Amino acid sequence: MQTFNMYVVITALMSAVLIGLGAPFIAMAVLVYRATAARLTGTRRLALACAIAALGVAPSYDAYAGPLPIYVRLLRGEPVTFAAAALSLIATWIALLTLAHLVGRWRLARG
Amino acid sequence: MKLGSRPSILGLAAILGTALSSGATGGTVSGRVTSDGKPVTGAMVSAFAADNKQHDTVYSDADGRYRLTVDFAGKIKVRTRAPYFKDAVNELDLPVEAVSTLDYQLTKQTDAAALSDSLTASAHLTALSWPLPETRAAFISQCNYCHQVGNELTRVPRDQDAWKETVRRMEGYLAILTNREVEDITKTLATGFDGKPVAVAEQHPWNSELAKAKVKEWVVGDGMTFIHDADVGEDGHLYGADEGHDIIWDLDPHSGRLEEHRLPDIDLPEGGVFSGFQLPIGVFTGKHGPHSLAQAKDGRFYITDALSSTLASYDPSTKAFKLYDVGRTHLYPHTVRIDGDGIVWFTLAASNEVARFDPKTEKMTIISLPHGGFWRAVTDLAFPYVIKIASFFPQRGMHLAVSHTKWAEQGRDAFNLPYGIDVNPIDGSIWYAKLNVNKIGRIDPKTYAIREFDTPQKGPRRLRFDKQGNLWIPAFDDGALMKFDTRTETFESFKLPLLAANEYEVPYALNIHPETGEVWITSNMTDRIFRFQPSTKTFVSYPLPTRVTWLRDLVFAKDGGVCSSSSNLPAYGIEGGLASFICLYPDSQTGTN
Repeated sequence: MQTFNMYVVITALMSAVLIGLGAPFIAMAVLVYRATAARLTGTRRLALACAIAALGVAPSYDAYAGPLPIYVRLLRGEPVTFAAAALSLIATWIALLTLAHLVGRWRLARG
Repeated sequence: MKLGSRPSILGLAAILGTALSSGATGGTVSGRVTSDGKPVTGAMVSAFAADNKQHDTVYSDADGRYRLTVDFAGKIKVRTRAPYFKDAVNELDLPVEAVSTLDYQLTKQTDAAALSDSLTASAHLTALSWPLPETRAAFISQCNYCHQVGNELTRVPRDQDAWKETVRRMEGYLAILTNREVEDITKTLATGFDGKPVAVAEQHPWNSELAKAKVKEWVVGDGMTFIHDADVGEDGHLYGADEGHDIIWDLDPHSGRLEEHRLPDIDLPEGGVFSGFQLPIGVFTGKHGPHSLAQAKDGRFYITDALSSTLASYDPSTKAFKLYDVGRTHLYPHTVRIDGDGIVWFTLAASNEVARFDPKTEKMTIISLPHGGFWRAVTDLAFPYVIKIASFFPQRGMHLAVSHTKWAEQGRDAFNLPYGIDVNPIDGSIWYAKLNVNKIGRIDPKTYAIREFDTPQKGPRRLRFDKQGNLWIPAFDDGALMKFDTRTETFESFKLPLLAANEYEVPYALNIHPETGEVWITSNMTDRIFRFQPSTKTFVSYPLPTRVTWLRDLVFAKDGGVCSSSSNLPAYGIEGGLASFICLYPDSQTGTN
């Protein structure tokens, strides 16, 4: 449990770095979300946009438990385990979807 | 070998087999060291007390002759050691005030493995083939930071994964490397340390000064003892700050009596404020981590407690300690010096600060040093809080996970690391060295205005002033000695003498003899100590008798000794497996030692 908590704290502390490094993907996700307004339903658009953002933000943890986006590790030539990367992508995608839903609800509530 | 003995009537003490009381001499061993009929010059003849707690050593002269008077008696061991020869060892009964003759005929070491094993750590490092000069520089700076690499303990063949595990542990102790450096260093070590003998032709120049010298070593503590620094008290005792065990050691070098005084407990876990680091940090099993010490005019020692962020005072007359809180965001109280007004100054290595403590008012003032760039500012601002958060996860090394030295690949350059400090005797200004960023700086003691200077050689470590106001600086990373003229603000550099062209030295500390003006400087990769004569710009190299000798602050004793602590980390890596106090008496044959 302590290990899990430690990873949560590390990820929270490093979230600004993850978001910063994932900014190009986040920007692309926003563009895709807007561009597909006429072609996809709201849920599908959101799922697609979150998937693109997750590609840029999903962390890969090194031997020191240090997180960096998976794509950064790949660009640096650092080893990335496929299973761990897939798990991280899915978890990040779900987290972003949840966050987007919560933000959407909050916006609706505010009118 | 010829052995003869003329025991005196005071043979009773010999039966005791222990160090004698103050001022007494044990016995004398003398003789000649030869090989194939020719004298062996500079051979180290060492006598070991029966309890192995004290070792005395002299060097054979140009004719191979030596004379070693020891202040212990009884069953002693005598060892003669010279480069490229086999050690010769004898045991003998040495009654008090007896004179024994021991001649040695040394035989050349012909076994390649044994010959290789007898070489200094620096020789074994020549087996490493570095992919980039920057990687070698990172290795020298960070992997020799507290200990030799290349000695018997650290050159054991391992595969790269095993080296990675070792390096990761070292990073948990605050070695600062990028992931690329870790990859390259571990690959190099795995390839280079293959267990095969190295063949390095080391040159050991003979100097007639050696024949006058004597080395005394007093073994202290256990295999985990880490006497970071030693100081000579006004009472002539050697005091040592044992960072491993939260102990101040007190050695009377004349009687050999050794006392230990434990620092008071504090409301901190093991590792102190660094409890989130890989623990124990090296061999630091305590909470305070006493690091450096200096004696004030009133007799009290001030001791920097690196792990607990406190300054301790210790009164040798009452054995009483008192703790002064520095503040737990002010990290790693390091080197301490006291100025002419009795003000205590010390560096805070991990938070890029210098502290000023006034013992009269007990007021602590923290002086922030210049950041020197964005990433270093990030370190200075964030690190205290990172280690606080890391302490919620004890011993996990969490700080590495969020460190920009890693994810932003900044490496050691992101840490200023103010290290050595000293007081200019001319104007009272305070000068410090920043080890990782190759700077020295001056603090005005009244206004706290700061000026910094880039050093021409890398790794300025523990600097000291001479009486003329010249600042002498050991360049750890570049194996050099620097002199900074504070009036003209100019540097002069001197490369330390090497045993072989492709070896290197990592000078940690130095001191300037108050009477002769000579600069004494540690070597640390070749088990030597250097004596530099500024007027002739020449070095004398004194080989030291114990392999894996890693010296820290150098201090001068009233009896002529140039003293330090032998504190390779861990102590069990030192030949014999234990730390020691060590004093070199350059003129022992004409003095009392």
